Parts: sequence; structure tokens; C-alpha cells
Amino acid sequence: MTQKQTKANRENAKQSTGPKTRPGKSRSSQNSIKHGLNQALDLEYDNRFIILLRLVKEDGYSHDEAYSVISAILDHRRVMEVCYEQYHAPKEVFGQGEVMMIRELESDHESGRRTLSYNDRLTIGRFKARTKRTNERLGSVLVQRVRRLGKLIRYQRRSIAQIRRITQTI
Amino acid sequence: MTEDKLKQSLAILDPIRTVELKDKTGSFEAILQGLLSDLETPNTLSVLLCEQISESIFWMRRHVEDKNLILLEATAEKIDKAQSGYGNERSYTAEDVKQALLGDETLKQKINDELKNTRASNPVATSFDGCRAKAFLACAKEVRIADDLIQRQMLNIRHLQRSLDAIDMKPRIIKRMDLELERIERDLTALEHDPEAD
Repeated sequence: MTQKQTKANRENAKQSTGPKTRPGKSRSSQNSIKHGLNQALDLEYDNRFIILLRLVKEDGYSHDEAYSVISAILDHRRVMEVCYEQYHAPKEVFGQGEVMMIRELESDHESGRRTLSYNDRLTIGRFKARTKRTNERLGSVLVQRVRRLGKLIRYQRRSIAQIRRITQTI
Repeated sequence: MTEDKLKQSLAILDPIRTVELKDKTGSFEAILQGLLSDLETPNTLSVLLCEQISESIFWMRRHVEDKNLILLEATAEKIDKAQSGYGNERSYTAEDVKQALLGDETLKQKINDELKNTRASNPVATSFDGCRAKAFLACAKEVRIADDLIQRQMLNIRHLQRSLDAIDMKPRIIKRMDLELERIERDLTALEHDPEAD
């Protein structure tokens, strides 16, 4: 796709009034979901739930007891799986594409294929400084990882408390 | 005996595993097997709870490692900044800092000497310990979050242990009550027989 076509597509998209069909609306409703831990747990199509429910009932627990304890454990699993994903998420880097583009421009300038004006070089210098500042603020992989996981502590607290509460009552 | 318990517990886990960590070191499996072999009466719920406890222990260890690494990396970064201003190339890594902290006096002295030479243009610190102190300050927030994560895992383990106790205690209480009832029944029959004996 050419740059012109991309630009035209973006301009056309601005005229859009959003999704019309039900599947479209359903898809776009998932756009801003970060981890989905505030959503209700959907156990209906969870194979693990069905198997665990059967196994726990075989141990002599009633249907209600088994249902509540397995849902609590699976809710905790959902939280821990998100934690695992967040732990292994790639490092967030600001301006990676732009920096590569700038490198190309500079090498072209050095080889004489392109001329960069004083203003161009000034803009590039400012952008590089901004990128460096932002990336320093974002921190290393470890720092980013710890910050992301820190946001999930409250969900772990909630799910564990639920397991404890249910196991005390059954 | 312990081997049998482990086999029995692993057989329960066979149809389904709730925790799937891609852990190449095998530490999670080692923790899990240790816990499962200590179970008195393995059943689905107790095995599931053991899985969750093992995972929490695994994460706790990871967070402790990460916390230490954050401090080491931050110190290495401060040393670099002190030496060369804001260059992109790293002359010392977190591993070097770890070695210096573990007692490599030669390396520590070398870093100190280099930092002393750059005293005039160095805005950060003029010694290894100074850089370490600055690094602590710089990453205090992240260290606090790491501490919270470790604390959370400890609490998770404690709550899960209580749950395991509750699950494990219930059959034991029922068994004890059965035995108690049996004893009462025996005593009752013995009492009924007493007048006949007279």
C-alpha cells in the first residue's frame, strides 16, 4: 500500500460513525480492554471448570460447595495468568520506528544522497533528546515489569480472599 | 509412604493442571512435588491448593530476584553516568556490581579510582558506595512495589495454607466424630448388658 493510499484510508476512517453490526460492535467493545479482570468470570465454556467440578464432587462435596470453590480457584487462576502475561510482556520503547527513520536520513545525508537543513537537524536533535528522556522515564525491562505487576496486586488480594472465605464455609 | 502420597497426588493432577508456568529451571515442579509428598490425605481440592501455594512460592522467589536485580542495574547505571556523562555504552553491568558487592575488592577499587578521576565533570557520585546510595534513591519507588509484590505472595501463601487446613481438617473431624459415635454406641451396649449380667 502506498503512502497516499494509507493517508486516504485514514481520512476516510475519520468519517466513520462506528460499527453498525452486532459482531462489529462486539469486537470493538473489546478494544479498550487491558486485562479484563474486572469482568465477571465466564465458566460456561471453560473445560477446566467442568472437569474440576466433577472431580471435587467425586470427593464428597455437594454441587454448590464444589461450584463455589472451583469458581474461586479459577478466578484466582485468571488473575495469575494475567500476571504471567504482564511479567513476560515486551519492553515498552518510545519512538523506535522514528529513531530508525532518523538513522536512515542521517546516513543518506552523510553519503550525500540527501541534504538536511539546519532546521531539520535541529528538529532531529530535539526529537532524539525527547526520546531519550521518555525512555529513561519508562525504565528498564525489570522496572517496567515491576510497575505492571504492582497494578495487579489488588486483584490477587481479592481472589485469594474469596478462596479463603469459601474454604472456611464448606 | 511419602512416594505413594506423591504418586496419588500426581494422579489427581493428571487429568487437569491449573498452573502452567513455562519454567525451564524446574523449580516450580520441585516445590510442587515437595508439597504434594507432605499431604496427609490427598484429594482434588487439597492438590489444587498445593498447586496455588507452589506458584506463590515460585513468584515470591522471582520477585526477590527482580528486586535485587533492579538495585544492581540502577547502581551500574549510576556508575556509568558518573564516569562518562550520558553515554550509550555501558562499561559496567549489574553482574560486575554484584561481584563488587560480594567482595571483589579489586573491582571495587578500580571503579572507585575511575570515579575519582572524573570528579571534576562528575555530577553523580565519586565513589562506588555513593553511586549505590544514589541508585537506591532513584529506584526507591520500584523497590517498594517489589516489596509489596513479595508481601502479597507471602499473604497469598498464608491464606492458601489456612484454606488447605480447613479442607484437610474437615475429613479428620468427621472421622473423629465417627469414632466418638462408635465409642458411645459401644458404651451404651455395654450399659444395657450390665443388668442382665446381675
